Amino acid sequence: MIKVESLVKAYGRVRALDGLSFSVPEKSIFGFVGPNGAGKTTTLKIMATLLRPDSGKAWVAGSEVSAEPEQVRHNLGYMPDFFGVYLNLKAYEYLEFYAQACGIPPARAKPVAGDLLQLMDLSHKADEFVDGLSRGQKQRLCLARALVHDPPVLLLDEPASGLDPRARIEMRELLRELSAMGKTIVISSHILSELAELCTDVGIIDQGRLVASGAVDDIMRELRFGRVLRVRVIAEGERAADLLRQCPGVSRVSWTEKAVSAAFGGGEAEMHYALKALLDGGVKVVSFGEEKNSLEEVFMQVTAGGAGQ
Amino acid sequence: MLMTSGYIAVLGGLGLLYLSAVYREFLSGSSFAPEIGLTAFVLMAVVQLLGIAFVTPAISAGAISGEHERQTFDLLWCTSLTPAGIILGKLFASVAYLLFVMLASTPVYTIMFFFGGLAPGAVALMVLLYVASGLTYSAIGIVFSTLTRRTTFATILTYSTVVFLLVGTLVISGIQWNFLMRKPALATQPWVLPPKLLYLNPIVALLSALPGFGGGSLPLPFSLGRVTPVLMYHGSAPPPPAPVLWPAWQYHLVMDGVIIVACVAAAIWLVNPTRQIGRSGLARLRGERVTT
Repeated sequence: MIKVESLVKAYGRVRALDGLSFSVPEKSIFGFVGPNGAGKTTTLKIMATLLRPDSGKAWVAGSEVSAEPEQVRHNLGYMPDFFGVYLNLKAYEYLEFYAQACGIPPARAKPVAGDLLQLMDLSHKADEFVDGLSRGQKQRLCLARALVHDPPVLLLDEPASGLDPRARIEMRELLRELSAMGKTIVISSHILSELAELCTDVGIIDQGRLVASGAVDDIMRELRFGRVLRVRVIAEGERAADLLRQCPGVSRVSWTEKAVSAAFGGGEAEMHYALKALLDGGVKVVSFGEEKNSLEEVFMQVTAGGAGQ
Repeated sequence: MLMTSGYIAVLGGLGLLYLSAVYREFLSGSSFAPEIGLTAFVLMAVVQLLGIAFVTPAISAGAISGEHERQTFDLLWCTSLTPAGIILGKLFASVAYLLFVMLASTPVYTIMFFFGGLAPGAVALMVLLYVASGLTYSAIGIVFSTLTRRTTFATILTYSTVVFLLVGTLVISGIQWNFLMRKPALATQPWVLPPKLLYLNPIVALLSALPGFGGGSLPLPFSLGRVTPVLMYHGSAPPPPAPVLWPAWQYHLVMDGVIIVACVAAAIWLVNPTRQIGRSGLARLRGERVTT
């Protein structure tokens, strides 16, 4: 649905994008992750036809952004990280204006605005002035604005930025609902834990280049670092640590009186061997299992240039 | 509504003030009623034109730059609106209120019909010139707004251009006229075509559109009548009949049309955010990060 090929964009001496390439499958939720200044917003703006790349191409819903910008804009809804609102417009007027700007006839604009306000749980705020809404309500209204012409693709730059926890959860549920409706969603965010929960695919960008991309589980598995085995014992943590050190696939063992953790690079057979070794050694095991790496740890490792270490 | 009513009251009050000043002359018979009505009409017309020149740049100079500064431009761009649609929409929005005020003030002028000497067509022509001037100043404001993307700079540039059109054209034409009169070949001709720059002046165009103004009774060295253009007469004897050419207001409308089309076309080209102008200077003025 979205394809980016060798994008390059420089601002003076700063190379914001340095040959970026990735693709987003249809009907997926793609999390676009990277440190500040990595090039996420630049990439989204190029896809939204707001910036022209120095070289490279990008396609959104089959249309190339430089060659067919009008068709691209017709097929996408864009929500920037910072946006202003028009003063003296009520929420429904705001949506009606953008509906008509997106080519929806005036007679249909009103019901479309009403439906979107209902979807975003803002019906009770329809007659409120937009600049009087809370931050979370404005974000939802802006998301509604991006949906006004029912585009198949959504580009959302930090949609949960500045929201309180409840509002973030509500936003996440909304995005799940939109994905279930068949939309392809690209989200740029710093809230990695939420992206890991929400996204089907992730792209990690650093210094203008893609350092990892694919399904979330695949990235974790593929990078294969930082898998941690955690064992809780009633006592004799040191003896448990000694036993684990002798097991294949186990390294960097650390222990306390009641817990042992170790870096683990083996498969299921090695894990079974380790558990059997502990039990045969008389260690009183309370819990045994692999701790799944968080996306944050993956992010920290790859963006520090430590992938695979 | 309050502002419109206030404006119409001020305009009407100005006319009444003049009428009250010449009332005694009128009663004594030393002033002719049509002349009084015409002069009052011209006074109000020029004041209204100056009002348009004062207000329109303030509205139009922030048309596009305001969208950038409010961070609403990106959302506007990511719609089905074409660049032409955005610019033309902003153009007509910035003159819409002015047009409404002008039309609302038209009845005030019709009071002057009671004095005679004024044709209904003069009011229609006056409104046409107002529309042309309003669109011209709006187009100028919009092109600067699109070019600079900063309302402050756009406002300064727009007002500077409007002041040039209103005052600068007169000053430069006057200087040119002095140089023209030193040419021996022109000294023998009673009527001399003025510097072309004068046709850009909206007040000159407005006065040339009003019937009989400046003809005969007023001691002006040029003819501004409706059927005679702005011609400079430099003789000391009473001037002979001037040759019939296009009235100045027609030249002015053509020039306004050219300015409007050029400014709108430029703004449509410039409004595209993927078009970056220059590497430094203007790009930095706009707050853009400069690409290589």
